[in-house]
Amino acid sequence: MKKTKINIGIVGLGRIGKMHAKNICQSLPLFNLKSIADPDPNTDFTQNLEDVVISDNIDNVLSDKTITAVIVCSPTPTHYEIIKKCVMQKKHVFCEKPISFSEDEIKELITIKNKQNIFIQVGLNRRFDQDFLVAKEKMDSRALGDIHTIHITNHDASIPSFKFLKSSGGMLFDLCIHDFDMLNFLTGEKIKEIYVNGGVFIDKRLRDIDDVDNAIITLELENGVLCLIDSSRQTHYGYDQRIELFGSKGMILVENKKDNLYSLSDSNQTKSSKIKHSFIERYRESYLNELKHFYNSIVSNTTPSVGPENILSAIQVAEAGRQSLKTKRPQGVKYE
Amino acid sequence: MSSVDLAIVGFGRIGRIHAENILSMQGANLKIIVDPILDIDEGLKRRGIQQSKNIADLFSLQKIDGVIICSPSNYHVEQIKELSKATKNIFCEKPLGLSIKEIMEVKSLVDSKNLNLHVGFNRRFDPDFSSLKLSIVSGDIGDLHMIKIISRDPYPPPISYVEKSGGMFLDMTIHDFDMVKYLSGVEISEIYAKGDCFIDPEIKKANDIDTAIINMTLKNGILATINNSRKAVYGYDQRIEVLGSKGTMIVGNKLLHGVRKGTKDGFTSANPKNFFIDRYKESYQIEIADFIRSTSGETVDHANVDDGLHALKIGLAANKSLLKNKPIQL
Repeated sequence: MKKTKINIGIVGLGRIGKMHAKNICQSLPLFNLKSIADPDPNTDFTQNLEDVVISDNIDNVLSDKTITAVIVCSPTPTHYEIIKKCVMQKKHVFCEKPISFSEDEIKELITIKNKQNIFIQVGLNRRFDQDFLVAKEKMDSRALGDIHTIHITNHDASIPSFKFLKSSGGMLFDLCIHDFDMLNFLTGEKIKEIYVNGGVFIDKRLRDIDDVDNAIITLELENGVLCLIDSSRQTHYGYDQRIELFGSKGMILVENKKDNLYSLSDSNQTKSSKIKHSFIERYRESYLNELKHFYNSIVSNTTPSVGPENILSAIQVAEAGRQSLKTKRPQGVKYE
Repeated sequence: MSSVDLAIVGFGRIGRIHAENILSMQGANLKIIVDPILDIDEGLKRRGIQQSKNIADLFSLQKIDGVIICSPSNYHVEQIKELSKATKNIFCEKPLGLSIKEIMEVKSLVDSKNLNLHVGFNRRFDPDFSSLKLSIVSGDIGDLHMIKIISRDPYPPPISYVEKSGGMFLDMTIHDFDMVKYLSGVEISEIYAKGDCFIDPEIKKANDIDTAIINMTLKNGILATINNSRKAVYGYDQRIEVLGSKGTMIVGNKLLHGVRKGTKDGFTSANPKNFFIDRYKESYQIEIADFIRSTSGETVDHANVDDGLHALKIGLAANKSLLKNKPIQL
């Protein structure tokens, strides 16, 4: 059977935009990358792309009638307007998380896309990680019996620039948002309560903007399962991404991926490599899988499994987390 | 070194461990074992160790250089007071006492009588954890930012024990609270404890929990967490990770054996050691050896009355936090 090709555009050519562009051109032949818009496109990168329209104006993507889907990778504050434009032009949208920091904006986008009959998939890529998927499958088949606790470790290898940190929405909205979504994805349960214990150890300027760079977060799910997230902005040893599921019949651990598999033993010690340094390296497959899912959703006309509704819930948890950090009290999550 | 004469008061499971360790060591004589519900052990009798149900027999001995208290927790303070009349070298199992008032009494006794009081936080003597501490102090990972402890028992104790244990935080987690202080050298200043009963409804009936996630801040701002369960079906799960400004250090589980097996179904390795007696075997030997050395005047590192007080305070604060569902400042 011949597969339909889908013409696609990319808005925003930062680190993640380039990654998606590369993935599509090298590994996802079902998409045809037709057009890229970025206010300041990196020519070193774009000169290697063949038959792709490069412009500094998003309207060049939107006005191309042959383009049926757009990948939005611009800075978060621009997402809302761009998504709205795409949806109004009847283009399906794949948008990087977190879509928006405003619950109202996300709710509005949900209304519009439903009305326009358009899909918005959100880049909560970890849902497509093969290791987490196996863990979920085992858990769903009750290999662990009843689940008692879930522990997620989520640490960046090196702290982003202060400029980025200021615009990131804060550690809970930028980094831990993935973990809030992961808890929901793994269990199918919503988070009932959150308590955030944070500290500033790495970049003291974060104190001035009420943000933290280290946090231990206690959560309770609606079914009573107790959860723990530990997170920091800088490990030095790599991108520390682990999940531990603990239940009445045992435990599942998803460990870190190493850069390479060698180890060297000498008269002093045995040395092995660091773990993968960045999200692009650690979650490489998940980024391909999420776009394959996006493709399949469009051609089969079925709603993608992860959309604005999911990011809305995660934002609501992050918001309760922000309150907790401020009040130093556990906070119930308000889903409205 | 002249030989020291020792007594054990309370001869349950842990008392037996200490007795066996003392008997295997040079330079120490186990003179007497006292326990009100003692079954005479013929083997020990043959080795010339006096066994008595009456503590008066201990006091009638000519010379006692040190006493090891392994009785149920509610007798500890009373016995420390009484036994301090016989010797100033006392080793007491954790928890030192079940109320702050009690431990304060012990503290003033320690000060006034210059007691050499050791508290049985044996994990401080585990070779892995003492190496970890040494590396932290040496600055191998820079400034400490975060401490993560996973501490799970393989099976819950009998309900009769749960009922008089003072609750999971005072009985089990107290080791982890002490470990946080031991590793960081800093006391805990705030605690938020969340827990539930998932394993056995009888534990709930006994007004206790069997699962907990604890979130803490230390006096210098370091963040710490403890993850507890009374029942890990795969064995005694005892892991610690620390994160600092230059990296991380991880202590994993000690396994039953080192064989890894690979077949068409994949690879298998052994589970962690069964329980504390196996996992922390060396720590019990080292803590008693150190106690013996200190009875003959050597200075050794050990958990003291302030450490016992700290761990109890945190345990009580954890109970309060659980009850009120809010963080408690100390």
